[in-house]
Amino acid sequence: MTIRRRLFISFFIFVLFILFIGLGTFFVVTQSNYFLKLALENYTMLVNTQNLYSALENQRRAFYSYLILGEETDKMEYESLSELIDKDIVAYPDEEARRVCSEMRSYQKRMIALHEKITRGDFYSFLDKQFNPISTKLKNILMKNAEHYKYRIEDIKIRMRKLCNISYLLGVLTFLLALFLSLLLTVMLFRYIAFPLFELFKGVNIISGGNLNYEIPLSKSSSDEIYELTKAFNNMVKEIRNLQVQVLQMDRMSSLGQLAGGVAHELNNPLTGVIGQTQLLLEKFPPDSPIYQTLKKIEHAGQRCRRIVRALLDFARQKDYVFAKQNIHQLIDEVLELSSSDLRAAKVEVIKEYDKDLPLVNVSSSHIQQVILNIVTNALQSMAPKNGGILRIITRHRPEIKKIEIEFIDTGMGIKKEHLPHVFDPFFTTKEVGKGTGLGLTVSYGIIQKHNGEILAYSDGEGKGAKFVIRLPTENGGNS
Amino acid sequence: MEEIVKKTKLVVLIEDDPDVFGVVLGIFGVKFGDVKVVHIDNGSEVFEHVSSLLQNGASPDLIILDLMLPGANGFEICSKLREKFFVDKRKVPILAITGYDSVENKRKILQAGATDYLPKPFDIEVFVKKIKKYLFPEVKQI
Repeated sequence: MTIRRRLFISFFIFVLFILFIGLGTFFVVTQSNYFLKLALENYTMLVNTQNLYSALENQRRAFYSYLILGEETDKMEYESLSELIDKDIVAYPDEEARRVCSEMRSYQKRMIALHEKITRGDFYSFLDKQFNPISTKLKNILMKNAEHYKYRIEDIKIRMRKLCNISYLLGVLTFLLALFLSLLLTVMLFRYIAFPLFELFKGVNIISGGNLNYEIPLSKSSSDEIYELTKAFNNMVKEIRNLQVQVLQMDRMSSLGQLAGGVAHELNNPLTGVIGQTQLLLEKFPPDSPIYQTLKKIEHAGQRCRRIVRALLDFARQKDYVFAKQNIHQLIDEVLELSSSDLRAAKVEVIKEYDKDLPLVNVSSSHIQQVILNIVTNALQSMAPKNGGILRIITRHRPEIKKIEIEFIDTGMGIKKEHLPHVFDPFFTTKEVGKGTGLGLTVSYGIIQKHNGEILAYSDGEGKGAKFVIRLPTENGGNS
Repeated sequence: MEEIVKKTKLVVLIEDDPDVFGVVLGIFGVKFGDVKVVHIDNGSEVFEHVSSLLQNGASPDLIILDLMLPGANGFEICSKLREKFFVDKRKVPILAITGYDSVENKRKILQAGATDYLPKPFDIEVFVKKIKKYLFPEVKQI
């Protein structure tokens, strides 16, 4: 998973988390608000009911006292309380209470108006039969209402306690979730960013310290941006390493070329002496004489020296280049045709994997064929101890580096790791004395250099085959 | 240094290396016994020797010239010889020999007036063929 994706998912989780906290808080606040309002309403109603109840009690007492004793102060108290009750009962929400109260009040008013005209007996009977039942009924209604409001308040208290518990729970949950998410984020930051970056940093330090062979370890599980970055960095170091090897090789080859060229020139004069004098002497002896045979051997050795010097000079000076646009496949095929009998004898099967879109390249055909022949010959000889094998020839166009690539992969004896940097050096050979000059690849190297190309050798080690890669530019090929 | 073999044809050999002039003189001794060879082993003495030869009425039939000589450059010697003494190429051929074989050297020395060019080391057979061609053009080459 990529870091970008991880960041996106983390952001999404945090948004969800915040949404969760917000919704929870909103729920708790609105609920508390609602319950508070309800509790306040009920409480007000309870107080109103209780006030009304006590006012009614006092008014009834004053009413009785006035009716029985006829004191003016009782009447005044009765009237002031009645005024209060009349006012309060209008706003009281219970309709039955209002109706009963107004009925009771009309009885009271009637008795006040009649109390001096009727007898005490009639008066008591009236009280018992009509006024007292209605007064008790009102008292009961108010008591019932007060109980109802008390009950409502208790109920709200229970519900608020529940809400309190829920908000506690929400708080704890939020804390635990925040802790978990922070831990997760920290672990992710360390595991996917900090540690790989540290590895990368460590690797870069090692590499910049000069160890170009160091490979920064890649984390196996992940394939994020840092993984890609590390991979790209490793590739870059590999390219630099290859380039360094090439530059070193070029440098060495250039000075070796100069040296070899100089030595070769100096050898030509004494070689003229050796070959010439031997040939002169040869004419003085009959072919069947032992001296003739010995002289023939000297001449043979001289001729061999001449060929070596010739090859050295060819490498040092590069001869007779004629550049023209050529079809590489045709050049390879011609060389294979020339070597077909050797290939058959060595039991080597050639597999061609040609890129049919390979462009023509500007090369000196005879020189390129010499390089191909050198590589094919080497492959043949390296496969001989294995009693045959497979030679794969692969061509491909690499427009990104403006080059074509020819690969020769054999299943022969391969190249030892310590020999690999020297295969292009003059006189470096692992063949038996007399089998190779040790100049084939040196000359090939010189020829490819002349084409502004590259020739590279690879092998996984002794017995594991070898790979030679030639790269030739598709633009500005020869420096003719 | 002079070595006279026989006085019919005259060859001037300009070569400093004893290995090479040893072989060339040997070939002349064995194959062309009646050819006179004047050997000059120093580049700076070439013109002196050639003018004294010409003063004595001896005109060379072939000049064999090495391109790398101490004290002088074979290309310059060749062009000066052509300029001062032997303007006609057919009359006095110059055979250039060199250990520095290259297309460029061949082109340059032929431009400087040499008739032919032979890289060292050479086989006697090839050398003899060339000598015969220039010294005895009337004899048909096999």
